[in-house]
Amino acid sequence: MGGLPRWSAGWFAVGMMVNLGFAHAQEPIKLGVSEPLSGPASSLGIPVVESIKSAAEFINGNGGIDGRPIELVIRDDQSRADVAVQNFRRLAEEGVYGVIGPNQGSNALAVAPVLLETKVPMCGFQNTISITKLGNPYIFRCQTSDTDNTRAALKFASEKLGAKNVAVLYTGDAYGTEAFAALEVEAREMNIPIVAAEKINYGASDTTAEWTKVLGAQPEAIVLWGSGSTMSVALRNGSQLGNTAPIIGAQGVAAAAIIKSAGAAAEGIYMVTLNAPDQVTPEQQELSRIYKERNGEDYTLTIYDIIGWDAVHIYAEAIRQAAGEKEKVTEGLEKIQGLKLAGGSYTYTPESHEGLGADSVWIVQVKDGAMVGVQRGF
Amino acid sequence: MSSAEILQLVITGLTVGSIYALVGLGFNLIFNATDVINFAQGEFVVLGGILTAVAVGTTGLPLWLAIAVAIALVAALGALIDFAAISRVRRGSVMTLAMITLGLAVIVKTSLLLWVGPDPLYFDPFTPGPPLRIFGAVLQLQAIWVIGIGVLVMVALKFFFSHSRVGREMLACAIDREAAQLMGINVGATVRLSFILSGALGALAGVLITPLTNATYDQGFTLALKGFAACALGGFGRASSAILGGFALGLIEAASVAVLPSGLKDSVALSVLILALMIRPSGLLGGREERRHTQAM
Repeated sequence: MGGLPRWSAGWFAVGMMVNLGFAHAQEPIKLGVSEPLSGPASSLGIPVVESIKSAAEFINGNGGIDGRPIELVIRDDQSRADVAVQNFRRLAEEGVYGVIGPNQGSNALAVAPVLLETKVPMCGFQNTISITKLGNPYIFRCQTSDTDNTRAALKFASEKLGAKNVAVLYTGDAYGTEAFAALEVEAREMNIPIVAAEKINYGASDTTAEWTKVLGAQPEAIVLWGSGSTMSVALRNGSQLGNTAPIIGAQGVAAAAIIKSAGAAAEGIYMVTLNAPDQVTPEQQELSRIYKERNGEDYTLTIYDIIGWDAVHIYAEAIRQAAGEKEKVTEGLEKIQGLKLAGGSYTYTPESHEGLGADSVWIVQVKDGAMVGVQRGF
Repeated sequence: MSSAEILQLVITGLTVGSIYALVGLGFNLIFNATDVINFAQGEFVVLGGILTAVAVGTTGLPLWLAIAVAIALVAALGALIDFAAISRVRRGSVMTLAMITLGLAVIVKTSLLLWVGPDPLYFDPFTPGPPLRIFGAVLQLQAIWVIGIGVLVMVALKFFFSHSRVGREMLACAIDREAAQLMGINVGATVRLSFILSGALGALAGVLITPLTNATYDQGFTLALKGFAACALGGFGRASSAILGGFALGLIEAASVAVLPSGLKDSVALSVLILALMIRPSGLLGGREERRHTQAM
C-alpha cells in the first residue's frame, strides 16, 4: 500500500467496481443468426433476417436489454446443412448468447449435436414435430408445432365444415410424413376416418394420379400437407379433376407465391398458419407500423416478418430472466410464461420447448387471391 | 377401382408421358449428332418455361411472342454452349463432353436461382376453359397441346433425319465422324445445328408443360432424368422411341400409384429403367446401332 492512506485504496476498489459495472451495462449482448440468405431457401431467410434486424433496432432504441444493446452476428447458411453446422460452431466461439435459426428442418436436425457441445440455445422456425422431441435441451421452437396444426386442421374440418371423413395428400419429406403420422393419431382420437391418404414426392410436377385415387374415396374434406412448387401443382390438379371437397392446407401452402401460381384453383381453400394478413393483433401493431413506414400503407405482415421479430423478443426476455448471464439463457428461456408477441403467446418450460400453443393457430381462407382470417385458436 | 378412375390414370400417364417424351426428343437430337448425352437438356426445358413466364409476367408480351422469344433465346444458348465449350474439346471423349454438359447444367440452374429465385413461375394454358370430360375422366386442354405438338415434332424429326440432307448429315456425323468429314460434311456446323435445335426443342417442351407443372429453377434435373429414362426405355437415337419410351414411363408411373403404396412412383419408374437396360440395353425399339449405342452410354 506504500504511502497511500487506507481509505484511498478502498475508494479505488469501489471505483473499479463502479467502472466494471458500468462497462458491463454497456457491453453489447451478441445474438447469433444463421439463416439462408442464398440458395433455395433464401426466399424464407431474407425476410426473416430483415425482421430480426428490425426487432433488434426496436429493442435497442428502447434502451436495449437492461441497458445493454443487442449486437446481431448474422451468418448465411446458404440453405446447406454443412454450412449451418459451421455457422453454429463459429457463432458459439464468438460468444453469442443464443442463435436464431436455422430455417430448414433438415438443417435444424444437423446442428442439434453442435448445440450439445457448445451449450448455446437455438430458436428454430420449424413446424416439423420431431425437432423438440430429440431430447436436446438447447432446441426451442419459435413457431407453431404441426401437432397443434394438424389437430386444428381436423377440428376445423369436422366442426366448422361438417366433414364426416377426410383424405390426406402429403409430401414424402419429414414435414409431410410427420404431419401425416400426427393426423392419423388425431383422427383416431376424434373419430374421423381417413378414407384415403396419398404421398406425393417432394418437387413432383404432376399429382393427377394421386388425386384420382384420393377422389375415388369421395372424401368430405381434403388435408394437403407439404411445401414448395408441388403444392400449387396439387391445387391446380385437384381443381382440374373437379374436386369440390374443401381443402385445408398446411402452413407450407400458405405462401403468397404458391397461392399466386395456383391462381383460381387456390380460391376458397383454407390453410392452417400463424397469422391472418388482413388482421393486425395488438401485439403486431408496432411491427406493422414499422413495416408500413418502410413499405407503404398497403403492406400486410407476412409470417416471416412475425417469426423473426418474435425470436429476438423471446431472447430479450430470456436474457432479462437470466439477469444478463450468458450461461443462464437456456434457463431464462424456460422461464418464459405467456409472453405475448406478434405470433401469439409463448410459453417454455424445462419439459416443453414448444413455445406457441394451439391458441395461436390461425385458419385463413383465400378470397380474391388474398389470405383472410377465418378462425384463431383451437 | 372404377373404369373412370382407370381411364383417368391412363390419361394422366399419357399426359405425363408426353412431357417425358418431349424432353427425350431433345436428348436424341444431340445424341444423334455427337453421341453425347446432354445433361443440360433439362435446363433448356426449365429455361424455356421461365423465360416465357417472365416475359408474359413482367413485359406483358403476348403469349405467342413471349414463346418465340424464349425459344430463340434458348436456341442461341445451345449455340453458345457448343461454341464456347463443346467445340473447344471436340477431340475429347464422349464422357468428357457429357461432363461438360453436366457442369453447364449446374451453371444454368444456379444462375436461374439468382435471377428469378426459388418460387414457382407460371402462365395460363394456351386455351382457356374447363378440361374435357371423357367417360367421367378429365383431360386438360393443355395436355392435348403437349401430346399434339409432341407427335407433330416427332413426325417432323423423323422426316428431317430420313429425308433432309442436313438430317442425314447429322446422322452420318454420329455414326462415324472422320468418315463424315472425309465425305465433305461440315461436322462442326452440323454439331452446332444439333445444339441449336435441341435448345429450341427443349425450350418448346418447357413452354408447353409450364401451364401444367409450373417452372422452378431446380426442375431440370428431374426432367432430364425422366427424359433420359424415356430415351433409354425406347432406345436411343430414334425420335419414335423417345415418344414410345416417354408414354411407357408415364403409364408405368400412373399404374404404380394405383397398385402400390404412394410415394414409390419415382423409384418404380427408375427401377423399370434399370431392368430394361439390363434385359434389353438397346431399348424397346432397338438403338440406331447397338455397338455404338452401348459405347455412348
